[in-house]
Amino acid sequence: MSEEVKTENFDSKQYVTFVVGERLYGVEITAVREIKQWSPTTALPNQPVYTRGVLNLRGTIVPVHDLRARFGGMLTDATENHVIVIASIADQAVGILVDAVSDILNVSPDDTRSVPPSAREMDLEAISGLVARDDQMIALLDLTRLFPVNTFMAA
Amino acid sequence: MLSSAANVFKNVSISHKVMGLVLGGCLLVGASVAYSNYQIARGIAVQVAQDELRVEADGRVAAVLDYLDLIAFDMNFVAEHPQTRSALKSFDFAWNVMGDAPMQTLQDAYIHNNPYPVGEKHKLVDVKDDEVYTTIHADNHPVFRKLVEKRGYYDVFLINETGDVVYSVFKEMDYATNLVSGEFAGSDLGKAFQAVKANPAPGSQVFFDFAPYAPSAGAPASFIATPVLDTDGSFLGALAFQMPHGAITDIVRASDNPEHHHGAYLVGADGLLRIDASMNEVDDTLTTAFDKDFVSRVLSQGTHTADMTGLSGNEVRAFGQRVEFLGTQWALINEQDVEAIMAPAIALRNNMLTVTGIVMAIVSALAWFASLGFVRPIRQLDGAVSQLASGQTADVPGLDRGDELGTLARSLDAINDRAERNQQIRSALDSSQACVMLISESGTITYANTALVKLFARSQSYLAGRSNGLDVARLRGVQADTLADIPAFAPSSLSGTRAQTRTEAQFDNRAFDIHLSPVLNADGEVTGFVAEWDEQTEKREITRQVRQVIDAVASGDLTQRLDLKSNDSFFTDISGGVNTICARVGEFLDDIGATVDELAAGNLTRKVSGQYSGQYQQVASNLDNAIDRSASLVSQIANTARAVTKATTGITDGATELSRRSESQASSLQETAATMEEMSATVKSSAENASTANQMAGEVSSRAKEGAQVVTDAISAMGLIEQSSVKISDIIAVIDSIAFQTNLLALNAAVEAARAGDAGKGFAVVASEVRTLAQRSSAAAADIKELIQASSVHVSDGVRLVQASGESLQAMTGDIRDVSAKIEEIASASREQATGIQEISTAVSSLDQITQGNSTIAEESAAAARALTQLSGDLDALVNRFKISEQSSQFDEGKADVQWQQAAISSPQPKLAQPAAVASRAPVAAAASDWAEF
Repeated sequence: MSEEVKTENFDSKQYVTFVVGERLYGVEITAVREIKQWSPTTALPNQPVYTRGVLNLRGTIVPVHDLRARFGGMLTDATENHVIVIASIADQAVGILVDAVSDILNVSPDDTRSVPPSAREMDLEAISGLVARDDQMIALLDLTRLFPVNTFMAA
Repeated sequence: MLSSAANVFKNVSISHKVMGLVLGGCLLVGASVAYSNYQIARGIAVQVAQDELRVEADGRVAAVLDYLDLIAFDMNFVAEHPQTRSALKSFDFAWNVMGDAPMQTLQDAYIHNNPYPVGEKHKLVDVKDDEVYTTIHADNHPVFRKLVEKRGYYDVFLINETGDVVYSVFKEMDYATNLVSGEFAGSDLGKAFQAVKANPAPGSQVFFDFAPYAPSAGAPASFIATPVLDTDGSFLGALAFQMPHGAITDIVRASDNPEHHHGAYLVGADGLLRIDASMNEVDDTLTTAFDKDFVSRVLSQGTHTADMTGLSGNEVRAFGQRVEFLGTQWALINEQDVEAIMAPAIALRNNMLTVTGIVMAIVSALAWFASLGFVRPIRQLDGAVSQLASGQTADVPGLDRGDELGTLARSLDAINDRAERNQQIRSALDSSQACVMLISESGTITYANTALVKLFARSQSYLAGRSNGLDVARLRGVQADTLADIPAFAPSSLSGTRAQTRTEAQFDNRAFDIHLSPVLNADGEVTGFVAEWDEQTEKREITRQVRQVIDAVASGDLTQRLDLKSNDSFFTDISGGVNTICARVGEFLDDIGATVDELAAGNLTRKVSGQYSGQYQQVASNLDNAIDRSASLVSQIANTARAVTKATTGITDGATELSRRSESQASSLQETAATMEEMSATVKSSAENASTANQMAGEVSSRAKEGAQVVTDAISAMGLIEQSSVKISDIIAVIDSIAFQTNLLALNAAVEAARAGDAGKGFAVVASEVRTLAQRSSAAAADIKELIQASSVHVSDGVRLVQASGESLQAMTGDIRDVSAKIEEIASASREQATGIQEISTAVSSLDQITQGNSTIAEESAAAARALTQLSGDLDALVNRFKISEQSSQFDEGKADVQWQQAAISSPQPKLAQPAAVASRAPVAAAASDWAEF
């Protein structure tokens, strides 16, 4: 307990964790601008397959990406119970559609495990580390690698 | 011993002696000839059989060797044929390119997947796949198959240099195996290949004897193999034949004759049969063992003969000969039953015995006729002499013969004539009625004729008492004066008697006159006496009895009779006449007396029964007339009395029957009335019960209607509950949504707090608390939602059940209504029945009263009729005391009825009119049937 407090005091970071399917993912809390309920988006022509379209967030046009589709799954059948995490990637606001937000975690760097290298899994570069919690592994996402802004812009 | 045999010989009749000598000679000659011939025939038969066995065995051995040599030649021819060489090379090539497991591939293709059944696997020519082997097989298989079919081989094998069986015609389990390292390397086929490979000289052959072979399902198999060499003499592989077992068996058994237990077979050095012998039922091949010692003698000496127990189980003569083929030795055994060998000798013996028997029969017949020729006349003479000796006369046979027997017969005939004349005189005396006795000079009886013996027989016991144990049938030799005290028979008085004398004698209360005369010989000398007996007893007895009867008749006793049994007709006539007079007079007086006695007792039928004449007849007819008149009078009275009795009996019967039926009717009516009352009560009770049931059904129906109403209410209540549940669900959804929003707000707050850094930490805690609350309210909402859903399910179940019970109640209501209607019908029917029964009851009561009245009247008339019957019975009894004849007492019924009816109808009294109707038969029947119907 005391150790946990200690780590909190030092280099520990807060992560917002969310659920897609049965997998848990985490994003550094400082990267998160806002968390909001799903609302229908406006689709754009030639958008990438994992992009659901854009959202008017208080005057700012925010692209919304489907995390499940980004990791090669089907497009999420979004309902009012789905959540969009608005994060800032390189000062650009980006919406990420997930199934639900589960918790806010304190993670010390010691708890973080690096991703084992593998030639074929290119997307693993977007995962900065793994954290073990309650018999589950939480993948910490590097959003800049996951959704490069220029890619989107090019799109 | 010799003397006793001689005695026996003497006692045997001449005819038997003659026959014995002739037959004995014939038997001796016949038996000795038969025995010597049989011995000679036996020797010849044995010699012939031995030679036959040897010649036949030679022939079988030669045939077997010829056949085996043919196979050997065949083998070399095939092995050196260019096609065999190229086939082996091609199969070897195809084998080597086939891949990892050629054995498995080929066995699958040609054995396991072969569509033909076991034993016909060779019919598959082309398996139609793309293996090289298939093409080569399709090219070569028909050639080798033809070889097998033509020659009758069990199988043909091609084996490559390394020992793989690359081809076989029948594709048994040895097909495609390796004969050096494979499963069957140790079999005879494997050994054959190994031997060929070890020494592959051109044209060399190895041969393996028959032994059980596993790939052929343990059947006996023998192999012959030879190397197949390339043109440059290098070793390519081997060709092997599996030997034709059946063909060899047929050759060995070619001259077998099972009917005469004669056959040949092959035996190996181990003593086991190589083929199936024809003499027994079992399959002998490699199972039946033969005498090993015999076989080893055959193999060492070339041939051997012995008597022994053969395969058929009989005693046989066996001849063995050695057979040698490619280093293998067999013994060919030829055997034949000793019984069959000896059959001709035995037939000859039986034939000779038969001929001897027939000759014996003919000779004995001839001997018998010859002996009859002189033995029969002797026997006939013997019979005649025996008859003469016993005192009889006889016909002497053979008087016309000229030999010694004829002379003897004529002498006997003369003797016979003399005996016949003496016999005539004696039988004349015996048949005479006079009682005659001959007495010798000295007084002994020498002869008594039959009449005299009869006379004495009456006094047998008296005579026996006088002279101890005297038998009157044997009087000869008895002293004559001992028969009775007759002085004339005393020897002293006899000696002086020279003329006829008469003497009276008496014994045993019998009286006799005896006439005694001397018998003189030719010289006038007395040689004996003749005594003639004359009985006087009867004459004296009848005189006494006639006097006695005449005295009795004079004093009125007519029962006395003369009791006399005599042979004298005069005495018989007198006694018969006196007895007849007494009998006639006595009979007439008895007859009259009996008739008068019967009349006194009231019997008017008795007449004087006898037929009389004169005064007798006058008295008898007067008495009969008097009785007849009395009988006629009594008869008329009796007829009248019987008619009266019969009529009154009819009246009484009718009246009694009427009375009985009336009573019976009255009691039946009473029972009917009682039953009707019970029925009436029962019907009333059931009508009441029906009313009660109807009422109860009405109540049940109204209850069911109430129940239906309750069900309807329950269904509507359920519907309300369902609506409320829906509303609650909506509310829960709202709460859930609020909790979700709250959670998001708290998360945003946490994010903002994190951005604020240390300044936002307190706020972050609050946000966390809010988030927890939101999550709890969300969970609670989910729980409520679940409960509502569950209750909703229960409510719909309840609705369904309530609806079902409502339908049941509805159906019940309808049924109850039907029941109620039926009960109402029953009740009304019961009421109608009750009314009907009441009416019937009243009618029965009045009927009962009427019947009671009838019954009383019938009883009274019956009593009156009974009194009348009593009186007429009394009258009848009085008249019946007289007995009258059948004719006059016959009762004319018809006449009596008519008379009586007329009297009744003309009677002025009305009371008698009713019984009059009863008396005539038809009205009685009609009345009876009327009452029965009523």
